[in-house]
Amino acid sequence: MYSKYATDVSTQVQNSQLQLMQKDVDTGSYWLPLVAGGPKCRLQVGPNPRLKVGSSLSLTRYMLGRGVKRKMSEYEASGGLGPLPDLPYPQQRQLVLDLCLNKLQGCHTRAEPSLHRSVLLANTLRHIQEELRREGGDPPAILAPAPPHVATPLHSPDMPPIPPDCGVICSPTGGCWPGLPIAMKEPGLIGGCGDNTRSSDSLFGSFEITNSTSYLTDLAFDDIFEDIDTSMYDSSDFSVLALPPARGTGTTTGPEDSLKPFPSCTSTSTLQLCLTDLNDLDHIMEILVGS
Amino acid sequence: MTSPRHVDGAVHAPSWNEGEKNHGQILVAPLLLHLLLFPSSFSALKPLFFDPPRAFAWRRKLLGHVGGADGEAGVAPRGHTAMAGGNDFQWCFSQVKGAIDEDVAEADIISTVEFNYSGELLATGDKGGRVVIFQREQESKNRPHSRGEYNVYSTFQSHEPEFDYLKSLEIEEKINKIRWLPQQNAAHFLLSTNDKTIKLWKISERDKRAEGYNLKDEDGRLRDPFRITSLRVPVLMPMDLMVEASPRRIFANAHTYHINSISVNSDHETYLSADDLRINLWHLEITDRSFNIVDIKPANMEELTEVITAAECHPHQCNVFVYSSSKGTIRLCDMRAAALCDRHTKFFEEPEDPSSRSFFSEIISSISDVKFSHSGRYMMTRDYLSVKVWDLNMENRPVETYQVHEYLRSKLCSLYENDCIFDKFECCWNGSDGAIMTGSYNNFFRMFDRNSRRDITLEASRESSKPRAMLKPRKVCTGGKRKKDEISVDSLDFNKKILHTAWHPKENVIAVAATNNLYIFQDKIN
Repeated sequence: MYSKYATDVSTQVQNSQLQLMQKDVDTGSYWLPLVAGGPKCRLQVGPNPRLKVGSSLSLTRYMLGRGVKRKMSEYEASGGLGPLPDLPYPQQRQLVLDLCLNKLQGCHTRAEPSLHRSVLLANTLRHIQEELRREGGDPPAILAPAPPHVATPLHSPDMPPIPPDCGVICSPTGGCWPGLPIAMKEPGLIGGCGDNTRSSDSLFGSFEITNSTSYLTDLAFDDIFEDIDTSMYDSSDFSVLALPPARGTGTTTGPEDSLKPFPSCTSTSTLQLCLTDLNDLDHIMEILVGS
Repeated sequence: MTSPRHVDGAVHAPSWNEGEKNHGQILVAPLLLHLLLFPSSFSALKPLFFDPPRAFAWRRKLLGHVGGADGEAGVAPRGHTAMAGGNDFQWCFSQVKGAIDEDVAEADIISTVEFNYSGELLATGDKGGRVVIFQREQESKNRPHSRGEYNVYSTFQSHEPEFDYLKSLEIEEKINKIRWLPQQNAAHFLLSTNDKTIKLWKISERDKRAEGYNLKDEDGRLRDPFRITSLRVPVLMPMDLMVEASPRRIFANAHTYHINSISVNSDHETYLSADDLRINLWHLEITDRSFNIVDIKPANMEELTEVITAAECHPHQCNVFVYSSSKGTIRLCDMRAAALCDRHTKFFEEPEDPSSRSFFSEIISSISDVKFSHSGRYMMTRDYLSVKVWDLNMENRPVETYQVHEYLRSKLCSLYENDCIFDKFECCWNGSDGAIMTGSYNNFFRMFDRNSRRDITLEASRESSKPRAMLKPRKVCTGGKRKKDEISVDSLDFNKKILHTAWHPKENVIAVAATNNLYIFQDKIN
């Protein structure tokens, strides 16, 4: 298990440069409703090109890894060390974040989701998000990139351009990583949120339009930030946990969903679903049982 | 700074209970040699030198007895001697129960182990909803070395899989907990629970039956009363011993979430049951009513950040109970204060060590088990990497912290990925509260002696399962070169985990559940 992990990590590192050159598109943008009933905002969490391989491989790992006994030779060949020490901090965080979301997404496939586990996962996710926000110093900078690749060409012009001196590197996939090494600041990576948006849109043709894009057009940028600052992290809110649109498949919600005030803006907010489910059922139970 | 009271396996002292005054002498030689050979392990010893009260005592002894080297230097630690009590003894294999097959049926996996108050009976529950009770045989004079083996006494199906049509959820039959009631008469009673329903079982023996009724004929039909002409008193005839388990009470429909704990109160009349968000108080005789004494469910479930992970009644004060949370805190409540114990009386929490912060800090601090000491003065909590002993009179930090498998700290990401990080290890006290035991991976389990602060890693394996074979202490290599007899962290088998253990309430007999096998070990006095 560990060895497999270690192998994956090395692959990731080797491929990272290659991927930067290809400006490949990662579909890892997650929709994170911020406030119950309030407007929604998008938090870019999966754009790090270095981790693209990791995130796709991690899915296979899930299928193979569990319960498979590791062979001696295998782990010796790979050094058998855990992945974390090898990775720079932002990547570690990204990895954990990806795993978190994957696990939360998987929880609804279990017969009986464990509330304990879901809550622990959710809190971890929350901490990482908060850290991401804090690290930006200027919180909007992290969340700002109003990910160009998610916005359709139609909508992207509505995005106010981000000043190029904002000090944040935008990866081709729209994620902003203040801590990324200088080497990654190649042309086309910087300031991708601004005028380059349109050009880069063509690269994201494969990315599905999510329902949420429509509300972005209706919102001034400031409104979104206001929302983040005031409420996202103050209320420890499960709505933060909405999950990403399923990768590789089209997003499922229709545009009309975005009009609902309900905090879940993706259809795949599994934890939320199972929690609200439990909540509702709990209520029904109380009525029926009279407890 | 690391917690000052870490105890690590790298501390080599050859004996457990040689008496205080000898400690320094025997300790120094192997310690110094070890340091010479493995300088890297000094970091593991560091806590000793920074633990203000205790470490100074140790250091004083160390410095004062440098010349006391003897022939034991460099020998593997005799840490397996005397784990509790004042005797010098070693753990040895006694019995193993369960199939040997490599293929383990899910239903056969043991999910709880519990001795009764006398230690005469040992109950296990499994994922298949069965309860198996073992009884200790009387020691026979013919075989002086066989010291009361445990044999199957009764087996019954406690819970069946169910389907909750209202919620469209399957309810597993897995036995989450078993708790014995103190024995009041010839029969034994225990509570068993799955995720939702608690049952009170009566286990009773029958070795006689009444014979000689003349009211019924042989087919069991009532006879014509006019044809009964004589008064006949039935007589009790001996028969083969039969052990019956019968459900006496079923406590259902009170838990919306998964029950994680049940605990019989010291009044012997009530018990509490805890699920993820609520704790209920029951009377053992009343099944249609329970009192909700704790409810941490927020009005809006989206605000939920904490769940209840375990709860237990105080062993002597029937008004006091504790519950632990997924945030690593413990709340002590007094039922006299209010009917609803939403406000705790005491709040036990250790400030987080900023140096060891990671993404997984909260997950690994989640408490998986809480147990009062028999004396009722202390309680022990188990989180993912450590066991902590708390004095009920001190809320701001534990009085003792024992690292169970600190070498996993660098592996947390992988353990998180393969979901092991959510494993719920339990812990238990020995009868005199002088030692504690908890499980780990690779079929390893750990014991900590509270007086000598020595620790030991033992393994539950078939290889060492010869009758009365001595258990060899195991050691996991933590960085640096792997020594002979050491096992590398990377070759640990994380599918073999010991989550449930139990310690006989009076003797040094332990029961260790390793997947589908139950191992019983006992002491051997030298």
